[in-house]
Amino acid sequence: MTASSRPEQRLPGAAALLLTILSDERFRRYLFQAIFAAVVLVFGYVLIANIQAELEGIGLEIFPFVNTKGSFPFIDISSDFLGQRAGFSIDQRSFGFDYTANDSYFRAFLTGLLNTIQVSMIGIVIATVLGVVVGVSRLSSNWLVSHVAMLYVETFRNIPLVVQLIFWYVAVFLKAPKIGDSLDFFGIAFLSVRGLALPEAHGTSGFGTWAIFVLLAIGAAIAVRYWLTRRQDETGRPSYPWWSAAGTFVAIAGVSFLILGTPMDIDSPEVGQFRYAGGMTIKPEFTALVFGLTIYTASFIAEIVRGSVLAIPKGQTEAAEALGFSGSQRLRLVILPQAMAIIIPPLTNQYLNLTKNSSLAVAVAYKDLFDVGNVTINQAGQAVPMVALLMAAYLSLSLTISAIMNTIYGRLKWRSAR
Amino acid sequence: MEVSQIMTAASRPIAPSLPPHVVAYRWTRANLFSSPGNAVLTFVTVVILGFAAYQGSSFVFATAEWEIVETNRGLFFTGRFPRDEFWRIWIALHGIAALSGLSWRLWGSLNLRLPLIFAAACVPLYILMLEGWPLLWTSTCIATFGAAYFAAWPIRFSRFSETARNVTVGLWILGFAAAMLPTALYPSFLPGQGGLFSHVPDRQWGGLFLTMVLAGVGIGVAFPLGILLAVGRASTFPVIRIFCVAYIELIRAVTLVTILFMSFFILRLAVRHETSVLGIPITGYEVSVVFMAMLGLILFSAAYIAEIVRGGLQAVPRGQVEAGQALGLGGVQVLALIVLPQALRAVIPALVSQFISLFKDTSLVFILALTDLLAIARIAPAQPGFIGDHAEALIFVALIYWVVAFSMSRASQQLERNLGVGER
Amino acid sequence: MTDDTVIEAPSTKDHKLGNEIIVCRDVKKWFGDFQALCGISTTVREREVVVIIGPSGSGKSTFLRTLNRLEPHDEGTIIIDGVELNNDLRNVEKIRSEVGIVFQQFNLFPHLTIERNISLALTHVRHLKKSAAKELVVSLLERVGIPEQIDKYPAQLSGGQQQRVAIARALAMQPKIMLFDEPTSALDPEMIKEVLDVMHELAESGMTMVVVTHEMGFAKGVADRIMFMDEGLIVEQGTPAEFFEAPKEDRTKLFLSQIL
Repeated sequence: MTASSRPEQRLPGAAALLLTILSDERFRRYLFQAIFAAVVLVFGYVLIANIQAELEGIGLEIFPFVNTKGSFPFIDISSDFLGQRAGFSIDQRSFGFDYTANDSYFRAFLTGLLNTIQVSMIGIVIATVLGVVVGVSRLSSNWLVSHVAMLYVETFRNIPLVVQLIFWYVAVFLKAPKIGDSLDFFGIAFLSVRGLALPEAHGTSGFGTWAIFVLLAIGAAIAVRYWLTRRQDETGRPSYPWWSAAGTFVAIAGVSFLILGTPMDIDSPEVGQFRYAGGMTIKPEFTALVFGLTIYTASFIAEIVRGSVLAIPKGQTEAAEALGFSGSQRLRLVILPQAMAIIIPPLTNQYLNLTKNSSLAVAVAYKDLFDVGNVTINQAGQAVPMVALLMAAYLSLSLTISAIMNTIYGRLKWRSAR
Repeated sequence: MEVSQIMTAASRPIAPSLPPHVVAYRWTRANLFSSPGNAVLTFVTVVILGFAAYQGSSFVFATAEWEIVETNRGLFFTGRFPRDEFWRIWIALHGIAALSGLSWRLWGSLNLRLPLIFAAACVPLYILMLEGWPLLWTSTCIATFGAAYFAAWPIRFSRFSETARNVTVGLWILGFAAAMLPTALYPSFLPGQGGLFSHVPDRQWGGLFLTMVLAGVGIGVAFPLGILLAVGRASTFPVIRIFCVAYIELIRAVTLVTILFMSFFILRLAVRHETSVLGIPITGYEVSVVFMAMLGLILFSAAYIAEIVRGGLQAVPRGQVEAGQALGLGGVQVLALIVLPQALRAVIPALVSQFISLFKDTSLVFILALTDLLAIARIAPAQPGFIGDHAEALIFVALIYWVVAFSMSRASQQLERNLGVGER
Repeated sequence: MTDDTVIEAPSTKDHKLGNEIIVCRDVKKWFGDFQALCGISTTVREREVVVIIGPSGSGKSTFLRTLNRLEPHDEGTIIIDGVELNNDLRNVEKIRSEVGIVFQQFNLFPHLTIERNISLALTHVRHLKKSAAKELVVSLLERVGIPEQIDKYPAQLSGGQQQRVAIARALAMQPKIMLFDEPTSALDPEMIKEVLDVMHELAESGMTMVVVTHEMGFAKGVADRIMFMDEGLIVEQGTPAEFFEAPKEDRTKLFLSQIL
């Protein structure tokens, strides 16, 4: 055993021992984390204690270095205020949820939440459709189409969403003609500064029965598609499962509809003096919000679609061509399924962004979740619990969307075996 | 192989050059009318484009009243900033021009496209926007830029280039701090709360100036903070990792307006209350709205930047860290010298995209009643004589946002090319 | 089972083997439930060249990497040049400054020039001045045969050249021991020779080397001792002559029949 090549340590025993401990890797890890945790906790404590103190107007000093006054503070979020009378009205209501100014703050909160959910759902659907169309156009071999799509994407991506929203609201939909001069769409729909009037369908007696038939029709269509797909796989001859399923659905639903005596009433709008009578009126706030959100988000989705199609190795298209697939078969059977898997994570991100961006409704006076929260804070003054509630609500929405998209992603991955 | 098939390059016939109208015709055939479907698409698109162009140009040139923009130029650019304090802004702009010129010479590529575009952009700026003193000062700014660029001309390829680059980075940080850091540490940060601009109450900051300040500080502080969070998230210390993950996921799940609200209503309370540790007051300041808005933007963006940098960190092979460790480099050295340069280079497009988002998100501070560029577009049409001119103001503002955002995305592509392998 | 007596090889070198510089006693390591090293005991003397061979998964790379703490061992002792390898960070630092390693994947720093790759540790760990570091870099590159590549970036070099730069980078720290983890396995065949030549020269100059490799030609020609590992244990070791011509264990015979 060779002698130690380290020079003799000439430190007193205690100091050498301390140095050894401090040099120990595991000790350092624990120490570092302990210090970090301590700093975070102290910081958090000061933060919370200060907020508490400001809210209660007492003086507070941090122990143990300075005198401690008062008792150990804790967060006392009083949520009693949520039961109080709200006192403000909300014009837009979704899913038929009822609300008046006499209802509680909590009910107002729920109304706002439902409004947000409605806008988000509609926005996601329309934005996806528009985004896919623009994204596919971007890839078109037609020079004009692909460049117009590029123009679209570059324009709407680089302008802030708020600016676009306010533009749609203030410069477009609020500039619509007065109700007396409504734009007339074949007598079925009307557009004015009061909003967009569309016919509304009500279910009359027998509607419930028909709904049951519709469910049966869906089930039958699924079954038909399944059997025909299997037969197609086994015999190799095309049996058009999708067309047949669609036909089955239409047949069953349509026939039952007629047999039950058409249990639906169409309520057509008519131009009144101050508002439209009958039908449903979609307010300019809502249309502006939907237009702004969808056009903005669609520009990002278009880029995602384009990016994911380009990410598929060229060899795939070549192989498909060599095998004799037609253009639309290539797209349907080879390109799109693979693109799906690549698309889902960034697409999920865009859906989350859209949902969160719907909070900008405050700029167009649409009473969504955030706007209701804002009014509540101004009226009831309970900023802390309200902000916490808002954050919790958006967190839940985000998690729900993420969970749904992750399940779809999981099933897609399994099927494409990538 | 037949003799006739063996042709030398010289004897191979050259394709005859075609007359231009034939070329144009063929190109149109191939790109616009290659199939019946395509022909229909082209036709429909042309019709729609024509309609939109007609409506658009009739609006822009006929019905629109652009006086609102012309009269309110000052408002759009600087909000209610007092005129006699403008010199502060001009100093800052000259400083930025000088440092930009230096930086471009020391790091940039040598092609001519960028200066030509820049010159082209200056023309409408001059014609439409400037007169009087601003004209003079803008010219001196551009002159400073040019001067710095040419002053640094010999340094780029000399042996001082490395030192010069470090000095420039130092100057940027110093300038940043001098302009933005609070001049008085306590007891109060008000009224304007930022170095060079501290004598002007923050409510009077506005317009493009406020937007740029928010974006600049936001990007400048959120970037290093995001890197720290990403490194923490990848750390082997569970306590640190959990903290970073929790922070990132929480922030990413909520909206920016919520965070701005939280920062304004709640954090302000926390900082306002007086607390002392060991007799030293550490809180107890009145903070300005601009400060709170910046804080909200920074806290929000840092989480997204952290996620992007995390992707970059994952792209660096583990062997790089091992090689560094085996050579005796310490943890921080390995991170700073080996891992981060590679990680950041890998995610430049995503990073710049996030910076552009941050710039666009500054428009949200209107909910805190700050008069940024967008807010000006909302209040300008309330002036008598300009009532109802919303579209003009909004289009102008949208154009400014678009120009800045588009320039940033083009610059990022350029940056990517510059930082590619084999070039520094 | 394991043979840890020192083997006095009939050296082809001018100098004899020196004192024990690496001592391992009953070294064990687990990855979760899987035991990668099941009790390695061996010693390496100064100026000795030990070549470790064995099937994949036998723990050879793991063992190599425990020698400079790229992997911590769970049981047993490792003493390098009198310094014990444990959780004491000062010891680890000392040992790392005396042990150099060359990786299978080269692990050059792609964003730095060749010169900077080699001089980085010199300036930041040894705190050399840039000019002094550069002189050292030039002499090292000459030693490995590629002085003209000094200002290029790794991506511009061939695999063989990159690995030679990696060797130069490790040598820059003037280590007493050089570890090689399958240095030629990632190289195209025509580049293997240039790297092996550098390693041969290194051995001739008296460097203590522990090499994990599949290059049997190198093992036969340069090694002082060959160590065969399988399933986390040293199965057999001996001089190249003994090992290749008269293997004792059945597992060794089986392995040799598969690769030769």
